[in-house]
Amino acid sequence: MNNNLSSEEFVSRYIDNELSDIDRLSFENKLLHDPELREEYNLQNDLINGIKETRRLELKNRLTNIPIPTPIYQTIGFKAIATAGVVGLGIGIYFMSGEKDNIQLSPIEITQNQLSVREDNTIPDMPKTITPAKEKKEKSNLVTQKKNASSVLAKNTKIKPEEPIVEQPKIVEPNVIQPNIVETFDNEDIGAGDISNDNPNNNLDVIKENIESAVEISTVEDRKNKFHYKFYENKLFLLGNFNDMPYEILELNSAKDKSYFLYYNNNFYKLNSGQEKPAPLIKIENDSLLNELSIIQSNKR
Amino acid sequence: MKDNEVLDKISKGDESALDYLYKKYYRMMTNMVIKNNGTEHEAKDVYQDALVVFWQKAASGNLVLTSKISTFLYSICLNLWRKELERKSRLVHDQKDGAEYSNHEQEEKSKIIHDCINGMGETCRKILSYHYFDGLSMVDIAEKLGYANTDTAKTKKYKCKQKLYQLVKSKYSKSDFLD
Repeated sequence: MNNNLSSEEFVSRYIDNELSDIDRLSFENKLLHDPELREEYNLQNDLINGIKETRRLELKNRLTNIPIPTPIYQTIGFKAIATAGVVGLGIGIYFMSGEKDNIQLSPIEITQNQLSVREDNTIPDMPKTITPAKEKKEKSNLVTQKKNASSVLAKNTKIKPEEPIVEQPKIVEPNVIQPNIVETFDNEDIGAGDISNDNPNNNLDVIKENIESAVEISTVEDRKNKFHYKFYENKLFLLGNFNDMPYEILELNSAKDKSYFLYYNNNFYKLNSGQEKPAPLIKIENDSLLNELSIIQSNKR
Repeated sequence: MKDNEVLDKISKGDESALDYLYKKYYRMMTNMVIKNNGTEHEAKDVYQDALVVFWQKAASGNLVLTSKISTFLYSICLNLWRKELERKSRLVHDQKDGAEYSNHEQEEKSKIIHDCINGMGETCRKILSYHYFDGLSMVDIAEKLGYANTDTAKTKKYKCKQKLYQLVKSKYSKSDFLD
């Protein structure tokens, strides 16, 4: 151990770890038996601890002064927006559910006459494309609505939910009772005696009768049912592609019932007026019936 | 900033890395204390202490991290909070006057030393702090404080320590005298 050094210097070097291994062991041995040296050591040790503590507090003080950004979900603004959002959502859900329960479409009153051919022979305005209504809405609609055209359309959309295209109804040519053509006016009684044929109102009455018995026709392009038909609400739906070739509907009125036949692509097809579900069009093979239908068709023309 | 970049900065005594870590892990570390019966204030205190411990180890260049900084910091926080809970538990059960007197005397000594350190100039305070607390090498201290070489830093450090020693010794004497 270097005896030239003061005890203060020895302690300082010991603390700073600047002593050799031999001097260190010697110092530690002396420290155990020398109270003065121990006191000196404690003082310098406290000094070093004081420096460390000061530095520690300095760093802590530095950290304390660092602002910690409040997470966005804890800010007053965010809470206010979140609250407003929740309230808004609640109100929205309330009203949405309320609207859902109160969905009531005003029923469209369509009379039988409107469904049949109009007197002025104009085609009723029909939408080219009908967007299918949602199933839930249809349910409530159909319950509240009377048997009317809108329900027919709703059902129609059920048949083909993928962009159904309902074409404008084609009008059946009514069985118009044509007035007897007078070749000459020799018989004056014709003009004077029977004025009913000249009276346009009387003619309209006759036509009206026939018009009322006519059935409205719609062609619906249906991928599933390509050559089918069905009747619904006194309306004939031809399912499939009927746009390429002309078709004709024959209506035969008997005392009890009406019979419908489709003439398409040089063939006759029987149409059962009670068929409410799509049914395939079956060609008539009966020769006698075919002859009769051909005669009726030619007479009509 | 990646972990190795943070460690590199700390080893050079760059305190901005400490600020960065403090902000980055504040919520994670303080939440651990708060969830374990700690207050917000206690959580903040423990986290700051943990970060200072981490700083001291990393700045000295002796720290070899085998995990992420966050994992290491978390374990320090956990240990410090356990110690704090034990200390609080002891305080409830241990009400001996002798212990209180001893603490009071130690506190008095610490206060005198603390006052003396703060009474020194800023340069002396820094050089002693960097050497004894941060464990920076004389090369780093010379660089940080703008000295020409390490010898200048060594001489400066020696003089500062002597100054503090004399100051504290004189205060100790005065305190003894007053007692």
